[in-house]
Amino acid sequence: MKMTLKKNLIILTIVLLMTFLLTVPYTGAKYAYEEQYNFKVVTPPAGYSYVFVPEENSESQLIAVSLQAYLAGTNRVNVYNLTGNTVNSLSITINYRSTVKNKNSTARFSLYNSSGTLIRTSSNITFRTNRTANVTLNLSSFSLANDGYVYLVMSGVTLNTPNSITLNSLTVSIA
Amino acid sequence: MKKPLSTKVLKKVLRYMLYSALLLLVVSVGVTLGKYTYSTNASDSARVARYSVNVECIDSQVEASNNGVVVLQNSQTQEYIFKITNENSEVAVNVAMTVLSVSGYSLPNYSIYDLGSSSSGTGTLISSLPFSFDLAVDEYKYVRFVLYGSTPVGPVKSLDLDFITTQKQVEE
Repeated sequence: MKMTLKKNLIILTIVLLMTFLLTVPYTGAKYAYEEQYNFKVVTPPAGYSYVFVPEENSESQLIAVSLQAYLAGTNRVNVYNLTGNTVNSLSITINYRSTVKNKNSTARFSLYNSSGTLIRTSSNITFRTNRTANVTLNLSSFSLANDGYVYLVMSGVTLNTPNSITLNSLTVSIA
Repeated sequence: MKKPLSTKVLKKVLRYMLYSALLLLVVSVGVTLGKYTYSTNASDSARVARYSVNVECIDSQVEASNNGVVVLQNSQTQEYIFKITNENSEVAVNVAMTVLSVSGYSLPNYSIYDLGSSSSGTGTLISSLPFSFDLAVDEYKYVRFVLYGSTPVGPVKSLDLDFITTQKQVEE
């Protein structure tokens, strides 16, 4: 290909321009480095609180109180969803020890959203006589958005011998 | 009177200029791709001098606490001590420490204290942000960051704690 004067000039211009563009960042850029830490702070209302993050779907707490003391205190169970996904079902397992010999005791849980609106009330759970056992309550078909929370309150309790039932632990699971 | 340069001579001159420019280009490419793009903590590959700033939470609680989730009762606090070091650098740096509100969340209560070169103690409360300070080569500073559990309880609150460092000058 024959190089004309015009072609020579165009190529020279392109080469000089590229050289300039490559050199300018080296001499003129400012070097910056940034590090960022993200914090999410949860200040739960009084009660037993469970915060679920992506790696977790179950949390357990030893509470070791009598059922009567539990009902007399702040018996809310706060459940926070920080998983990044919507939670549609929840189960709560209570490990208890009963020394009642004659008759079962029963209780219900009511589920509320963060505004205090009742979502649903469970059927009765039964604390059976004279044993250590688990009782599990399942609540499904509701919607708990990411970063939201709901709470459960035990209600409708029929206690036959109040001081004879001890709640050992609460385990909350999400799905 | 001198005879003007012929087209042939002009073309020859331009060709040598082109060779020179090409040589310069090759050197520039080498410079850009080689020595000067090396960096350890770079968000920008071009630079005027090498520097490396290390920011670490010395008790590693940020990483250990559920993806940065902190559960605090109303009157509780949680503190984190950060060490900012200008290490293995050629230049001094400026550090600007600031807090950003995360979109969609309310801002939790917090405080920042300057601990100087000590990793313990209360420190001096920083009353306005960004908290900006300079670090000479190999110099370090400790900063205490305190989060508070506060009203209203319930909603999840969030913030981003940023450390933005820039080189101050090129050492001759």
